[in-house]
Amino acid sequence: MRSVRSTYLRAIGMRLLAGVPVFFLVTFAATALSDLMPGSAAQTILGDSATPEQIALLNAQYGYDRPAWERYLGWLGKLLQGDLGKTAYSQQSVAGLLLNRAATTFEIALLAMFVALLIAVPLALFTATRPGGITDTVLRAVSSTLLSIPIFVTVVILGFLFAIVLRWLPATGWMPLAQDPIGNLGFVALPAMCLAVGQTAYFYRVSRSEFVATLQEDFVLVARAKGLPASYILLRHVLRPSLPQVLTVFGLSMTHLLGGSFIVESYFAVPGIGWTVLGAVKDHDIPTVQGILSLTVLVFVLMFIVVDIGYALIDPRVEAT
Amino acid sequence: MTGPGPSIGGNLLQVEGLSCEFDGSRGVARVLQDVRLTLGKSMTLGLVGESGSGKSMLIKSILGIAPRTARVTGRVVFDGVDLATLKERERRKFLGRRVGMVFQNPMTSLNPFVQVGRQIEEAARYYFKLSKDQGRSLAIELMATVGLPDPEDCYGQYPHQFSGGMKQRIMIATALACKPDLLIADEATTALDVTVQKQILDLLQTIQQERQMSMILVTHNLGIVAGRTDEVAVMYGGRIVERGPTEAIFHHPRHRYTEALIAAIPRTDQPAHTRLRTIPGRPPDILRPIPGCPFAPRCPVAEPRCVESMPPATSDGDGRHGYACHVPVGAASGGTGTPGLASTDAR
Repeated sequence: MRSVRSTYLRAIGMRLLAGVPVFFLVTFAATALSDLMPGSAAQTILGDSATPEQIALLNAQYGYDRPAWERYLGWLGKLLQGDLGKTAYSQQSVAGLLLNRAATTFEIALLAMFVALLIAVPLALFTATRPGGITDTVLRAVSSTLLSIPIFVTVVILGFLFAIVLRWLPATGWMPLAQDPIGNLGFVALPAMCLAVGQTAYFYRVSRSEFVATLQEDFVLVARAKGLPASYILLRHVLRPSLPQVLTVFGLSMTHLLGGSFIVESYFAVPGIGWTVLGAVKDHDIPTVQGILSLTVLVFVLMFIVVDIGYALIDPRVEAT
Repeated sequence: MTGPGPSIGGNLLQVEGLSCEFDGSRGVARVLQDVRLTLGKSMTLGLVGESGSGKSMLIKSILGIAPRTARVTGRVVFDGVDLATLKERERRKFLGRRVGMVFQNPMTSLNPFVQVGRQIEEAARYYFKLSKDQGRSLAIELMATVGLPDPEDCYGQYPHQFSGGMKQRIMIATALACKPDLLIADEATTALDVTVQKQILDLLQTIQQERQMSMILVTHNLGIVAGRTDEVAVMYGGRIVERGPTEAIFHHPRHRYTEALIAAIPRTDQPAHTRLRTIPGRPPDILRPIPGCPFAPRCPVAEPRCVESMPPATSDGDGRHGYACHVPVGAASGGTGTPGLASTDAR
């Protein structure tokens, strides 16, 4: 199947290319942004007591006095050599920092997503086959309630419940997975749970309505006329035709979660992407902001590719183009 | 409300007093009322009626695949087994193997996500515990039977790669997978163009004769059942209003509705631009059925008693031709084809 593989490769290449202009636009905007923000990088770094001479010296040293487009070209040039620069304060490698922070955010996002799908999809399958039943009515109410609770309320409630009242989980902090997998689980649980709550409700609603629609299809009636067991019909004839819509929602949610949740990460002091970019913007740490934005653009483009490949795998009518 | 049909080799299907109701926001919808039907082994029955007359719901009620909101009552006996003695699940399993269904729309009756070969074999693999290879060879054999070119290649293809006529052939193969005793084609050719319609009908007829199956052709088109069925049952407003041997129904219809339906068949022996005969009025409101004959409001020779009381089941000759009409065609009380208004007293 040589030709199939090459069409796939071409399709992936086309999507990567489409991400290029977005990448330039976003990263340039980030460079220019620091000129628009109140205060200056040098001022922030050196503190309020810095003299104008000191500031001028630092600006010259880091090139902050040059125009935005010049700084941007410099950053791009280094990027081509695989160098994302150093952070403004600690002079760490941005690439190293990014890997570290991304690992944290991705772990939480993947876990939240996994839990949400694992709960939402089977529940939706159950209630879609019994519309108007007690479970259906209750879950409809519960899911709309959960969807309407903003995340900053969720973190407070769940944090209070699990960390203060029950004392099952640590309220804040982080332990990298590689260092102590068991300890990591304790720290990842609360942030992942908070993200999963809304996601579960969202997935539940989307997949339930998709399942209900698929159950109305003629081919499901045909399968019932064949006398096949209900569980077989659900898995074979209902689940898969409903998946493209669920996948769309999955892709959109995933790109958001992978960008890091500012609120969840800040509240639980989790050193992830959201928390890091928040600090970096405040501190005029442009190299870090640039790095994170580049990563985010890359994640978005890759996620869309993954979703598109998913469509093609699920639906035989979709061809890679 | 018709007399029993012939029982050559015994009855395969016997339906008595079958009713089906839905609770709607505007009241109870009586979709089927006291339907009685028999089908002999290796016989073909044409079930004819206009949209909304309850044809499809009758089939679904018999098979136990009516929507869960439907209230179905009545007795259905299939090959000596009273289906009331089976639980819902068992009933569907029992009928799923013994009855093959071909539905109206081949475009939507196949799952677009599953290879057609797998859809053909799945019921047989489930009931007969066939292996993957056995299922595959069965599917390929069936695809050859229904006249799909290159069945080996077709096996792994998806529904969107086939035309409408081909899809309906695949549906027929699917229905035949478990060697059913009864094949039901519910408006199986309505969605197809006329030439393909004929091919599919011929195919169904050939298969029915080869396999000695019983068959029910459900259609709104009387022309379709003309040369292809042993018997015809005419439905109107959720009731079977007339039933009998196909010949008798076409040449000596007794019920006024059947007569009107036959008159409405376009004929090629009439000059061009002849105005087509239609039946004035609208189908009955199933939410507010009248106590009498459902066709009375549209009937050209209706009498007051037609609206007031349900005509009793009557039969001609040896009892094979049954109908329920106060003023049957050819009877002394009502002139044949007398045009008149619904309120006209034709006595």
